[in-house]
Amino acid sequence: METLSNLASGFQVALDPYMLAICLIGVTVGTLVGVLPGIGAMAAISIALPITYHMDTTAALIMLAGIFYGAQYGGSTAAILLNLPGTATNAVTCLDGYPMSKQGRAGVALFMTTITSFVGGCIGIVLMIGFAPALSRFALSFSSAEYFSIMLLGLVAASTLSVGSPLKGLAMVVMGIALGLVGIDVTSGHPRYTFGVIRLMDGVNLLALGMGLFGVAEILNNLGKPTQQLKAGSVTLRSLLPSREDWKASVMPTVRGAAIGSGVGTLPGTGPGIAAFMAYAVEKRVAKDPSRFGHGAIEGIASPEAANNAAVQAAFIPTLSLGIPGDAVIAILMGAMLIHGIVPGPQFITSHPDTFWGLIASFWIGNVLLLILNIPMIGIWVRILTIPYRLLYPAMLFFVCVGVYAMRNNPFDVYLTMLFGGIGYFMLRFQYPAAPLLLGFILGPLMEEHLKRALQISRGDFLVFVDRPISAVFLVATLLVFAFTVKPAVMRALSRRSRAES
Amino acid sequence: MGTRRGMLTGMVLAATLSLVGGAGSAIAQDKLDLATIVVGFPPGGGTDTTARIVAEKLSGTYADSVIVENRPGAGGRIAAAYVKDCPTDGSCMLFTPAFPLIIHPHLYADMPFDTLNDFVPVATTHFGVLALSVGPGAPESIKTLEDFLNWAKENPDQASFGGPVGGSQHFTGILLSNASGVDLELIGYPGGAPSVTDALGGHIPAVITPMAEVLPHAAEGTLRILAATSKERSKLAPDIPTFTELGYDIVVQDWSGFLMPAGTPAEVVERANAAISSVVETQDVIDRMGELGMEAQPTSVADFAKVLPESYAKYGKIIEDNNIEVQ
Repeated sequence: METLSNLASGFQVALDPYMLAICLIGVTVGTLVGVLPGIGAMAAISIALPITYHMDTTAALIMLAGIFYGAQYGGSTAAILLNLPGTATNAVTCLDGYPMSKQGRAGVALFMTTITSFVGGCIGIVLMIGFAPALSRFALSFSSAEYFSIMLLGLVAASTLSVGSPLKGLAMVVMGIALGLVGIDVTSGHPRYTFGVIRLMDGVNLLALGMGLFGVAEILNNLGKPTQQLKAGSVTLRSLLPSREDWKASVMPTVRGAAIGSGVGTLPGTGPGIAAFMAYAVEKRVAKDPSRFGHGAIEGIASPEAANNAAVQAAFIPTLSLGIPGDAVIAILMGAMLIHGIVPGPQFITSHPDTFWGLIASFWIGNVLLLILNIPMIGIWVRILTIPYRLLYPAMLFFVCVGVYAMRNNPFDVYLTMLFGGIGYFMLRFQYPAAPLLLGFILGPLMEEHLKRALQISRGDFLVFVDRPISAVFLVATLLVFAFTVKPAVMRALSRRSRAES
Repeated sequence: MGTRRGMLTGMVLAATLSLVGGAGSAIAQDKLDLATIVVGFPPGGGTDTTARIVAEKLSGTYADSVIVENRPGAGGRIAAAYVKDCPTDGSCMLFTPAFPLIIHPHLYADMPFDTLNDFVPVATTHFGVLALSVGPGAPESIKTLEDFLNWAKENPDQASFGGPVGGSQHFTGILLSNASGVDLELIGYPGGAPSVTDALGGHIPAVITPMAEVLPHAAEGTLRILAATSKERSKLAPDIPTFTELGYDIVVQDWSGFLMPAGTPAEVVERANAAISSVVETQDVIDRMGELGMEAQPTSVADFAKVLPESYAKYGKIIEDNNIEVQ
């Protein structure tokens, strides 16, 4: 009952014409950057961040969050039409979305991904309403020991569940943690790995790292490639409507995808990208005829799109109630909250109820707006894909530089961005995933801080991590995740040995 | 409405200026086109907000327009290093809390400026008050500072407090340890908010933070404020005793203020002080700073010039006496 009245007051905040306009701007910008390949929510949020400095806090958050989940909607468009993921999280949508469009069913694919995105998003929001306030009440009893164990679970899950080689994933996590060590150590005050450079006292700038690895690297990577441009006008409104079979085939995958997305998204450290890949893998496993996947199976787009949108909404749960960012984009969003004087954590929901419930209400409104933006107006977004890259990429580079500079009025960060852009290019070339690196960079220093503080409070007693039941549960879960991923490799090694012996 | 108030302030200011600076015509000549207030912290925080409140009221009087420029980094040191090399015509000033200038030089080897020789103090806005509070992590029977110290003496393995390493909170804890002979261990936090959260959750028994950060929790009864570090009782919390009253000679009340690069002429500094001080004395500014938990307190150039080296020497002594080493 209390939740309903809270939600009602949230809608009062979010339905204010100004807030409504802000939300519309946010989701429109989000869809736009989602549609454009190479430029993602991270770049858009960091460019928009300085604009929000002097806005009302709630408005600023509504706009930035709108960019974040709006990008998930737009991202599928380029994936389906061009086989280029608009954002990293939509990569899996290419697998069946592009074949569908080659079969002349691009319209259906675009329509279905929008609908499943909406359903996934809504389920994520319901979960957030149910869980976030409860968790934040509970979170006050979380000490540094619990925080450490949760983040360890998130980090291990993220590096082992990622796409491609788990070893490369793990290596990138470690590299991220190493980069995260740069700067002043919170528990001792010592500067580490700064080499006397005062600009490095605050550590490597997250924005410079993220924009370099994702934005600049992507642009560099596309330079040598033959351009894959879209001819305008390939999608008509009539071609959007799915058949009855399409509907029937999509219902269960959507529900499963949303469930997976909600679960994965809630876990700190695992973002929408992993959720989408897991949802796809599950669909392939439960399908009667797995061979259809990769050749335009509608389940293959319905489930991951529901999953990534549910995950985006669910990722706000650990961020707002515990202050642990779920992924890099949300870490920047959290930085925006700090700039506005709001500290995400157990006290956020009680001390800023208007902001919290207004934000939740704006999620509903934003998702409805996105439905409108993406179905009747899909033609506009498709046309955006016809902008030549020779115009698009220089403009993007410009905005990336301005965004990074504006954050701290500091040219050093622009140089760093370019450096990481170069490194990111080689990582792309040799297929080292950037997401685990960024995650290690974000969670590593937080984990260290909590590890040290837990030990400081327990006066050096390591048993504190298993003495506290909640912490112990998370540690056991970490072990299980680890065992689960190592198992296939061990089994393979064992069977090889037994074969060699026989 | 806003413009009328602005005009009124302008008139008051002009009147004040003419009293301090001499003839009215001289002021017209002195008025700058553009002045920049450099802030070493990101937009939105307490320091930035205070700078913007003052900048808004200085526009049109001290200079045609006064803007705030954020140059965050290295705990405020990057902005200070930037202002050191600014023009000395009064068009560029630093607004900062005291710690980057009076604490960091004693802790860090590579300092990009020399506090006492690179800057001239101009004006202060307020002097911050810290408070020692206990939460659910300490026994409920602890009602006073004396209770807390007795408990800490009997439970040395639990006697700790939260605060940032190398901050004035940390040094307040050290001063209390020295004055009472009871060992108190610092649990390091990156800022006030997470340490208050842990105190509320009962994970640490006590916390030393700026008073404003614990007042709402004290009103709710979740935290109990035991003592404040101000010289006299704070107007924002007149019920809280000071350490001095309770018999411990601990006064930690660091300034926040404006400084200009060394070499700025004395008359420019005086003019800026008069302009800033009269802004800080307006009721509107007093109210808005009060909402942020700050008690507005302007000073003359001469007083600030005395306070700055004193506060610098005070921390130098604490850090040397207690062998605190960072780099």
